[in-house]
Amino acid sequence: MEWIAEASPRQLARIAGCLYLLNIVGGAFAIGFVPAMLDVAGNSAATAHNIQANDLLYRSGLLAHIGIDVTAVFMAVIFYDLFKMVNRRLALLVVFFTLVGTAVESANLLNQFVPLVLLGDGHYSSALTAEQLQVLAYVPTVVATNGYDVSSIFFGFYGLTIGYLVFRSTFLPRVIGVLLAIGASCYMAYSIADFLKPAFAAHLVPWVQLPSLAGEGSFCLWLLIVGLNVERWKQHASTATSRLEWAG
Amino acid sequence: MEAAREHSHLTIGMGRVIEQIGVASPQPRARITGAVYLLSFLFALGTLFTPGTPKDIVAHEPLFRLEFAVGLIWIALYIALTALLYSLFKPVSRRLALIAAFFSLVGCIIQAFASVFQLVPLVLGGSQYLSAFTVEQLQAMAQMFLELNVQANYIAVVFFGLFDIVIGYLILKSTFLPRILGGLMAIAGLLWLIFLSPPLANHLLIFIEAPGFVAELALMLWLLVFGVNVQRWKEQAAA
Repeated sequence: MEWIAEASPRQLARIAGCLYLLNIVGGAFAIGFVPAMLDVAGNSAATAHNIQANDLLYRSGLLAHIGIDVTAVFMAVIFYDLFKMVNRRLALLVVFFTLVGTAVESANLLNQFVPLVLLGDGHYSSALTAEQLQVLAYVPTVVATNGYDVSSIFFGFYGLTIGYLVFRSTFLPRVIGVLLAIGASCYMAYSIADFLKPAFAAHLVPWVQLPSLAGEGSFCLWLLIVGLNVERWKQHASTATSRLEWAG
Repeated sequence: MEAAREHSHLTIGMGRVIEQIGVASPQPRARITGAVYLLSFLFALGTLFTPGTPKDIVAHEPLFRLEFAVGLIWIALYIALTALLYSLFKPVSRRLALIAAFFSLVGCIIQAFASVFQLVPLVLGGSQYLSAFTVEQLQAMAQMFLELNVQANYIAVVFFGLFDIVIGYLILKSTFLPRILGGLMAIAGLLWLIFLSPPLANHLLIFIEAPGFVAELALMLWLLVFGVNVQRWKEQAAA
């Protein structure tokens, strides 16, 4: 842990980029790939069968999901440190939105454990029919997609806030800030569409996800490969420090 | 601190500029806090007409879905409000301001997560695969999830009550806001704690909600109209 505590701004940026990459790849696996392989929309029996037959894949998806939630907490702290010089209050808001989004997302994973419990070792099959168990196992996985829409609202606000901070930072390219904000708006637009009219929202996939990938992908790769402009960051830091000292 | 201030003044040699930025007036942020507070009030009003049974929800589906989205935006606004209040009360006590913020965040998280339960009645309506259960059974399950959401909100309210108590205390200890606002907030917060016993709280509902409404309305309007006493805020920030 020592090396995290004493990292330079560029190292911090690289670490954040690395965590972000894990987050994007893990997210694509847990939220994209695994459900695409196993979920059969509107068919509880087929979905239950797929989960039982691919137990390891299903559990790997859950594990990856817990992993990306952990990376999000680390990223929140690093982004606070990197951006507090730009605007301390907004940097705090980035942390708050990340924490709430991540906590909701993690709690929401509970829904996806229900199939493992109900379809597991046959404890429940004496009281309920196989069809009923399959329905009870399937409904929470549908509810879970709504849960991700809920956390996406908070990650959308996170994206708008950090997009603004990147835009104002001078130590990262402004265009990345704009892309982040556009991607965040798409997140929120999709979630709200899915709450209001799920049938319409289904038409938006996958197009609505592309701007988010462009925003977060470019941010992630820039942090990972370039880091940040240390000279400019230090300018910010010295202004911010003297400002604080002056204010007491 | 005194020495550090002197030092930065000398080394950077642009003291006046820094002075202007450094002790920037808290008034804009107080007003923004009031405005975000007002917005969150308006969004909260938009969620007052929540239907209580699965049947209501299915019958008024578009309205219900709209309210659900409004409720989530309300939580996002409340998170912004939390960050703004932290920044406003940091000069009084950084630690207590942070504790208040964390109480609020926990309340927001519980409420946001549990809100998903409200959508279960819609998931349990209509699809082919649900025929394994009778309509009555599905309605009973939907009802259970609605109840769970209500119970979760009782838990969230307790955390919001703790948030109000600490904010009330911070106002009382502050010199830049009227003490009466702090007293009102602390009392409102204490009353929200009655939700530790939901049956009792439901008996006394109006006596809990009315003071809560008055306290938050008063604080919101004061921040919006009068802001804070700038001179006193700066004194406390510099202390």
